[in-house]
Amino acid sequence: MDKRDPFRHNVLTSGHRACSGCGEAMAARMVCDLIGPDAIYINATGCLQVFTTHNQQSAWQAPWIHSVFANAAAVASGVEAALRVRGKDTPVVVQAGDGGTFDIGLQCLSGMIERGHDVLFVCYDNEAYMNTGVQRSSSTPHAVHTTTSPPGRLSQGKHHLKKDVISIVAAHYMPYAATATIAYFPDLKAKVEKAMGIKGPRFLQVLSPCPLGWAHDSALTVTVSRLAVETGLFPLIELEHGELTGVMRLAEQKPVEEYLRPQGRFRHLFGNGEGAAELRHLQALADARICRYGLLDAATEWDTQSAMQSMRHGRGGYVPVLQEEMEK
Amino acid sequence: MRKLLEGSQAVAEAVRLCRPQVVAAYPITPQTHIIERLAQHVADGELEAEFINAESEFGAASIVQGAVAAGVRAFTATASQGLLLMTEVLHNIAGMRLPVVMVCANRAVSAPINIFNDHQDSMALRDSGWIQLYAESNQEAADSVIQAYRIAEACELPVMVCMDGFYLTHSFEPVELPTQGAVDEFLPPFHFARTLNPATPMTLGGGSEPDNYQEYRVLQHEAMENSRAVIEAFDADFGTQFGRSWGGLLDGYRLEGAQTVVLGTGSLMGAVRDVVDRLCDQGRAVGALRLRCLRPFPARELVGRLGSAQRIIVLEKALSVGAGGIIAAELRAALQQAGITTPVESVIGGLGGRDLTPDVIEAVVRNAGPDEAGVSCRFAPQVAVHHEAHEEHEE
Amino acid sequence: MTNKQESISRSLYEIRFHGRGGQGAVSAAALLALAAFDDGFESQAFPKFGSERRGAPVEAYVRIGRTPIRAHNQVYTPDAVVIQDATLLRSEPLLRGLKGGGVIVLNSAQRPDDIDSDRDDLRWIVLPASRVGERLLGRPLPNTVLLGALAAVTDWVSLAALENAVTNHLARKGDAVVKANIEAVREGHRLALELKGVHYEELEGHEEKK
Repeated sequence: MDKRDPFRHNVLTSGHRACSGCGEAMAARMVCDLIGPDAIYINATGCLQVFTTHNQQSAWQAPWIHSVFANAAAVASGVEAALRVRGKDTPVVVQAGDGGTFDIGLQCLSGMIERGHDVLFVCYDNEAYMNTGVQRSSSTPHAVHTTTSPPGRLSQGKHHLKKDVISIVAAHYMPYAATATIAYFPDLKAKVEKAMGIKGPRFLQVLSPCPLGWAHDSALTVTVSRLAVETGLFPLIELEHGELTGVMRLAEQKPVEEYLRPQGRFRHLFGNGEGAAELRHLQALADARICRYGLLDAATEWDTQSAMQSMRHGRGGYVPVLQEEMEK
Repeated sequence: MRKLLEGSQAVAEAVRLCRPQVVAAYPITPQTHIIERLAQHVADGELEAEFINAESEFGAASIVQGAVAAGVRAFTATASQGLLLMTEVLHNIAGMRLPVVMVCANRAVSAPINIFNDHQDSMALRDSGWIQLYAESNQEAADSVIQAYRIAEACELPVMVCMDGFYLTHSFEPVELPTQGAVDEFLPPFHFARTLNPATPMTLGGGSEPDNYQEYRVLQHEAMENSRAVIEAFDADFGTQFGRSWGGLLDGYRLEGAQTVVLGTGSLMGAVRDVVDRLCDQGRAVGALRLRCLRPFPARELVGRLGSAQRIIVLEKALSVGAGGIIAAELRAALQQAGITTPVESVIGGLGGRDLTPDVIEAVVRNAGPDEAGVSCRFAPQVAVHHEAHEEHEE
Repeated sequence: MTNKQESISRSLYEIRFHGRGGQGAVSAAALLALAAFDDGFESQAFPKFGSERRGAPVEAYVRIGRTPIRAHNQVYTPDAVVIQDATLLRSEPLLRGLKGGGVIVLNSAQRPDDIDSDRDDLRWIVLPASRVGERLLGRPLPNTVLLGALAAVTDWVSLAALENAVTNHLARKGDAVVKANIEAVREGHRLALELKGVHYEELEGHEEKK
């Protein structure tokens, strides 16, 4: 008997306890609705787990399990193996934050990919440990202010660079790995659908701004996530078996300052000489990413502007560029 | 038919007869022969299961957790550091009340690193919510695995079968393996009511607050308390069907009229039995009691079996550093609660594979006196090294 | 199954194997226990070693008895010691605890001169088992040759049971390996009968006899 609430059709229903303007809640709702309730969801410890299963209440209309922080990919491996021996093809989806992906969960993720489990692993990347009150993770970008990478007399925020986890994942000869963000829903949709059509391990890194941890206005979550793409700091890319097969071209490159200004986590960089140096550093990082992925000159059907205008038309800014280029 | 089998093989065969569908493991000495044998069974088509080479013990425990939650019987095995690395997940499995069965090939814990046997690893997990059964022989280890699946699935509690590393895992001993038909008769097909299923979506492992968390533990504790009767009943059932049973919770030896009783657990009890025979032959009233089940702790049953003893020696291969013997402390509490004032001598020995020989055990029994006040435990002497021709004890 | 219960005089025999990792001491112990079990005895075999390193000293133990064997302790007072590598005599007290009248089966092509024992109550059987192994198995593996010799001098297990044990225990390694090892057991058995009761000091010229 189907016990799902017939009046609610979202896999992640409303009434959960996410902060206002939570990028992860938006991203999870988008991703899970695209996959649907006929799937088994495995969650790592983190904001999503906490705000959706508060005190014996559950916002999930699909089978859902949370074990511990580090092991979501391994639990998913077991679930997938059990379904395989039972002859079921129910999709298996992991949802984890950047901590559960880049840091504590990386080993289990690597094992899951290496063993070829048929699992979609979705990382909602909000670039710090938000659930515990904004501590630095290895996903936190350079120069960001968190409670454990505070600016001070000797510091301009996080010293190190954001870990390039998509390259690490793709290096497993991964069938499909892609980045996405909530500002480009059609692009996200195309990527989830593409991922769901592929057998084997798949990985999606969804940039999910956190108004609390990024210290921006709750109304600006989508805007900030779009600026991360338009400045080149967060390239939207697709990698198949380790090779770059798709990018979202930038209609124009915006200066990083446009992205940094609305966010309190970068505030310490403005109005002082050392901060200015870090701003130049961040601009250089954006330029390097644009150069690496060809974000300004890739021959794509869509770019960051036309993809926005095509919002209601389903398909986002994705085309397999390299193949076309190779044919030329 | 009895066969001479290595303990690891005996256990692997028992696991195979229980038909797990997912086996996940990460190699660690002295557990390796168990999982190697299971991998071979899967490779040869003798066990229809997914054999998953985990990236760590932490991953292995997580994989079997996922598999059982998704509706299949599963198995894993580990030891020592591997068990400690699993710790977080093992607590979680127990809290989620998943019927997972695993084998711990008991090994010392580092530092210093030591691959040999003691009980420090599984003892450290005694409060994790797993039923713990300790085997004395390879036969018992194999039989306990079969019983463990039935106990776990009936009680919705995970079960850890503990067998001594090397002493059992690497020993060849005669073992009688049941037939597949007999095991199928004893062990019903896997059933777990809270299986992850899109048709009946359920949330496993959600959050809880101070107003109800404690109730989860109360229910878990009650399930543990109630499992005592289940463990005893299934062991008796096993005896009826297979002609062997292992005492349920406790296994007594020459206890009738015994004034001195040696309490211990695991494979060392074989040597204790030999010492009891030796001392009884000399006219001393000595008996032995083997704690088969550490969790749930059979406090009432222990009091019942030890109530008339005048001297109790608890010999254990684990140490609560800074406190003394673990079983001894729990036994003292049980006796005290029952108003029994028999002193309990806590003796620690066999750590890191140091052999508790019959001579050492005899010395412990002969030389022990009541503990001085404030002395938590004493340590078994080092085994004497025999360089000279030795007078045999035989006739 | 042959029943040899009557043929042993005591209720328990203990055998200790000394070798180096890779020489098959642990396998030899298992084979001996399997053979004894096949002969109708209770038996037990286990190694002392833990980590698997080629060349490192290894010990393994066997108990053969009439009644179920309960203790899992190492063997401290063996009735026989099987030494697979004579170089161990220099570094380890291999004869420790050996009972009076005890048997030593030693793999050596010549008279060992490193024996520090002043005991004259022991029976030595010295045979070039590695050399025999090399000839029959293609590798200098002494273990099954020494088992044949032990069976010959002690009569604790039958040759037939040892051959059975080799057949079953080594089945996975293929027919050729099984066949060669059975030959090795037989050759060890034959050589030991030839030398039965010979003290090592009388072994001069053994090589020539071969």
